[in-house]
Amino acid sequence: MRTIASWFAALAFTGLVSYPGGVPGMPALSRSAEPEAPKERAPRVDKTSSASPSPLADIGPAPTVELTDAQGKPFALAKLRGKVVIVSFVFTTCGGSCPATTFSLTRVQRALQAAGLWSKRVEFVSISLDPSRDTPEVLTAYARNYRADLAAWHFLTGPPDRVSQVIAAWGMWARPGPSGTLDHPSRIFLVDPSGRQREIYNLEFLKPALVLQDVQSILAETEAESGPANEPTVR
Amino acid sequence: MPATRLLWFLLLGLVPTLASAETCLSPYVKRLDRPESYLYVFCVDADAQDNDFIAVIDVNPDSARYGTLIQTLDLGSKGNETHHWGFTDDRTRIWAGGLLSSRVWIIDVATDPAKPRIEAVLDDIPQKTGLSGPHTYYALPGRMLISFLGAADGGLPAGLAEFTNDGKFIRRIENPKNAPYGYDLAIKPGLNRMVSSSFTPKRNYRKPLAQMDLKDFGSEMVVWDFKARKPLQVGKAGLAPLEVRWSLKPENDYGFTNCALDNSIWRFRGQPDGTYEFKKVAQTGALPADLRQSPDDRYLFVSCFGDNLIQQWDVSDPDQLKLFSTVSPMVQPNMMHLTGDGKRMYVTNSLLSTLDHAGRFYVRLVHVGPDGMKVDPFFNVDLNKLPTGPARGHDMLVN
Repeated sequence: MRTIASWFAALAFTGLVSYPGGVPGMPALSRSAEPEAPKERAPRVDKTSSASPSPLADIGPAPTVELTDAQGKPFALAKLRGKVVIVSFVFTTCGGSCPATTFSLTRVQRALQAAGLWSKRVEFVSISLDPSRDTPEVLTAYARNYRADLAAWHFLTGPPDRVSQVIAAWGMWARPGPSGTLDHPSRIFLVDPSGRQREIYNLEFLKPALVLQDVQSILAETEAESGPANEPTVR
Repeated sequence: MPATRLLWFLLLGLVPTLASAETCLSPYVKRLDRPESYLYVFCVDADAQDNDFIAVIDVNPDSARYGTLIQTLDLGSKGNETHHWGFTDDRTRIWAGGLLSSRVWIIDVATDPAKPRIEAVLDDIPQKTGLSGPHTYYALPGRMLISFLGAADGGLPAGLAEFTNDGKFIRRIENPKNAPYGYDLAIKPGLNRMVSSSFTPKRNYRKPLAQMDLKDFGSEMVVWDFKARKPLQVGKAGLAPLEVRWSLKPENDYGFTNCALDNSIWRFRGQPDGTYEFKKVAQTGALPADLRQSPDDRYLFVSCFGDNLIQQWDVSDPDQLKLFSTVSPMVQPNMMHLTGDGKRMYVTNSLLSTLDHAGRFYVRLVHVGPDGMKVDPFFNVDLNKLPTGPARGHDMLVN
């Protein structure tokens, strides 16, 4: 077995270091494996202790979103205060990650419906990255194709300059890639009832059960702070 | 074909092909969808008389400037011990830091990949985090997770901290008390596990090697519940376990680390009861300083800084590693960067100003083929004849 002593000997040989007093000895540190008690593999969320920090950090405020929904009506994200909101960025002609993003979110929608949280406590917002093509009519057809429940899933578009401002405010971007189609990051944002970003998902690792757990964690945290949630405040 | 099935095919198409994925980056980083055109090298001005900088090397084989330094980005200060860096998840920025200054630069590499530019400089990292020696820059979606080598005063404990991609501090994550040292981290999202490793804090690494306290190095590795950012287990490896590399295959619950002061590779593996076993699986050359993986998950590359060689180990059996090939591209090879196709490995030869012996610094290219590694006889970027004098090249990224 080569040890730190031999390593230093090798360095001494190369001239890297010299030791008038000889090669230093090995520190007395155990090399044996020391596994501790069995641990659970699922995330451990302590919902009972208010002193325990949430596993979901406060990443920052959810930027303002004031655009047009698939019915052609004005929509403000602030209207959903009091609910958990999942915000995604897609465009309808995307051949990359967007179809998979929307499809994965329909799975999350079903998980939330099964848990009795859909619409009452959680809503979705999908913002177009290509507003010049994604008119309200196009977004409606897109939503129907995925069986998105438009009662609580808001597909948004608007004047390109305004949409661009919203995209940038979320730290997102969309620009033509090498193939000519729009390139963009894959991020899905979890916003808590007070309008704070609490998690950002990557599509590749987005699992409905994981999102459901995060939503439940946030709702439990909110109720611990202020009691059961009321209906959302309309501003 | 039913719509649902079609969509699943689309989903599958998004999963990076194992054999063509860039290794040793956060799994959240967007992969390069073409061969690399530029190699970025994070450089320390060797005599600390001029500012540290980023070197841009043309690595497009069709370019007339192939294999030459085409651009430098002056970082505006000197003596930082510029060391490691990492892409943000969308690959538009590089977060890069200095081990002595704890200064962090956010570099825009999207506007013009040939001419990186400084977007922001974070000078108050120790004040915000209580930590110093930012080491590993690990992308999360929309955020960066950084491992630090020590506390703000240069001692212990080390820890982790999260920031938004544009530099806003989110939170500090505490190391367990019985694992106060820090170095690298790596996440296996599918398993919800993170593993971190140990080195030594600034009070020690800032000293010349001969004056370093050998008892002030860690040998602990921490297994974390990644989602909860909570430590689950502290295990012990050889002294100074550095890089953490999970097996690239989603189904594999094991990984490796190179123990710099034990001249060894250790394997960590999940057990049926949820704990991890830590086991020494190979004796390497002297001072294994960096550890890289082949995209097919079959090989580990170990730079043996103290023996002037790079070893390629076959890890098909993670408990019985077999030495497959070796090369000696230069004196004291250290950092390696393997391309997404696994065929080209760029190499630098500076570790720390306090440890370097080579005196002359280069960037070399090693070709990796079915029969092992071969040093490219022509690719040799000389970092010794720059207008500011010699520069120590350390970490690299391609774009």
